[in-house]
Amino acid sequence: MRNPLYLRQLKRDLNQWVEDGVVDAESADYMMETAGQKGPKRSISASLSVLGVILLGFAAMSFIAANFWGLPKIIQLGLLMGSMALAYGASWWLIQSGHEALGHAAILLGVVLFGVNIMLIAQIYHISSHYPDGVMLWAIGALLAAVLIPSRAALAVALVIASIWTGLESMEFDVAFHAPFLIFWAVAAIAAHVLRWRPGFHLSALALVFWLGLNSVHLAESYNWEAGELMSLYAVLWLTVWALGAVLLTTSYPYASTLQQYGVVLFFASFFILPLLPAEDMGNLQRPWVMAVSILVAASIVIAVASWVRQQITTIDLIGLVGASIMIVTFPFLSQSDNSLAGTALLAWLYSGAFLLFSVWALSYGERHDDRFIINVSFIGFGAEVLYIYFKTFGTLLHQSAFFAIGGVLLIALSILLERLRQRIIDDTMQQVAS
Amino acid sequence: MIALRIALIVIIQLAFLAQMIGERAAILREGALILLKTEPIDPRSLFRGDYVVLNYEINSLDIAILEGDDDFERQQDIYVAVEQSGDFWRATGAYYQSPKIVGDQVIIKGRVKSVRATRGACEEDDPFCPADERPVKSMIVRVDYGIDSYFVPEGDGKAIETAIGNQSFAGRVVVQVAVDENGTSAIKALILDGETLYEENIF
Repeated sequence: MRNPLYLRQLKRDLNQWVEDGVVDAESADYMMETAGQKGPKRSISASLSVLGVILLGFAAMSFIAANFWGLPKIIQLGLLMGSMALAYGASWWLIQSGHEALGHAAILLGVVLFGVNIMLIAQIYHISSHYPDGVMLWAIGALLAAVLIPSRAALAVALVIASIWTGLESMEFDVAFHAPFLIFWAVAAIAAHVLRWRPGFHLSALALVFWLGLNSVHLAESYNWEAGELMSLYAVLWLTVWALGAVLLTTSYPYASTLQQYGVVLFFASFFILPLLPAEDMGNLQRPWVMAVSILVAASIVIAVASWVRQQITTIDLIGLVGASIMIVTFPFLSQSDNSLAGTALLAWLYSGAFLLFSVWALSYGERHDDRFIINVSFIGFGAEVLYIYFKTFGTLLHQSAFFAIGGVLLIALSILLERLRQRIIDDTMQQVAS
Repeated sequence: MIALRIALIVIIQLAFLAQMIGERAAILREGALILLKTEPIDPRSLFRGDYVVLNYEINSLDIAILEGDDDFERQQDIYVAVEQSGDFWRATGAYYQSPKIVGDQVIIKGRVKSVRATRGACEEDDPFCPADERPVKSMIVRVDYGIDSYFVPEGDGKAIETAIGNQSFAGRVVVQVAVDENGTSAIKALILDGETLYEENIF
């Protein structure tokens, strides 16, 4: 049910429009009826019940922390396991009674109590060996609930707990490549897609980015990669994600634009950071890096060319994607100390110019696809680069002034040209319609 | 249908928990009992209430003087053979794989937390001494057996730590540990001055 205030306002407006003859009475009735049926999918009671579950979860954890040794172990275990079973039982009863939201909150409580039970058992039996296993068990239990019910809240909890699990394995126990997380993640990501839940897609994307960040650092350490090598790999990877998102936009895949947005924002960040790194951080560019970067560049170019051939992207987009790949891959080579360009203002100007050009293309891409997110990221990227150039001052201030002036004139000229082109297309279309 | 799904979740999750309990109960019920000397380090956990952190003699091993394998790496599994010496059990060997048990030996499985090697014969920076020919003087391996935390009722942790931390109590705190045939260990009892402070029942 929509907000009654909104419905009252709509009723007033429709009466006025019927009176003015803009809308007929039948249509007005239909609009009122459909507007009354629509409403926010979540109610305040659902949100409050989730918050209540969070508090109950913390209450249970504090209860465990207090180490209630007044009771025998069997009673302690029975109490908490019974609470867990009771929460699930209540969820069944609530869902059956038509209280869907409360039922799902009870499932969430069951998932939280499952984790609390793991903690209790670890505490009762003084288990402290490899504690990420306990976190993994909790995540598996949550994912099980998410898939079997199915429950969005349990899926969110599962992804968060799994991220903690992989974080502990990588940071506390030095696991270099935590592959088991990928299996967990794949199941969770499929569940998010099957549930058609956008926040679930975001959570799974963020969990993967987090895992990638942790594991790539270990990967870099094992191959002795420097920050520049890692950053260039990231940049090409995000560009590939962007290209993939661009291709999927032409299909019915519901998260294509979101996938693309992740690619855009992460690529902008990587492209911005890469030239800021000192030359000594560009590494030795040995075989493993060359192979990894070649695979990613080949993937992004193949995706871009294939979608261009199928007319899914324009020639300008193809140039933008391929050009960005080339610029990224060549930077670590150009920064090597044996290269005459290394450390020069010319290289800095070249890459700042390329970044600004790329921002302009991304802006045009965002405009053409009516994607506010990409437009905003492009503006932010452009602004950040301009500020960086202004404060950094490559060469002399006169060079800088000339760079900005030429860039400004070129952009304004381009905007005038595009406006004329747009006007001509509109005029031609209008003439065709008129004739 | 939803009832069946929810029932399945409850059964599977309870099975997970029962497996955890069953494993520990089996160690406490059937494991070989050994006494280990300990000394305290840190106090309590913010997340998990009070617990005493126990640092055993066998947490720190000098691999160079022990039997078995050497050159351990961080996060590697380690099987430590312990033998009774007087009232307590002390490490006699360290292995990559569980070794064949000799006499009244007990094998405890752990994980290497850190490795610190010092070499003899010549100094580290001696340019004429090849690195791979430098004999190991000692290799101190820190091992985690998963029995370093002992949870106690809220408020008791600090008191026990103070008692254990007092020098006059040094060497008088003992932990009885149960070890199963796979080398997995569990704390059975905490003993101070020959008096059992806490004893673990299965349930």
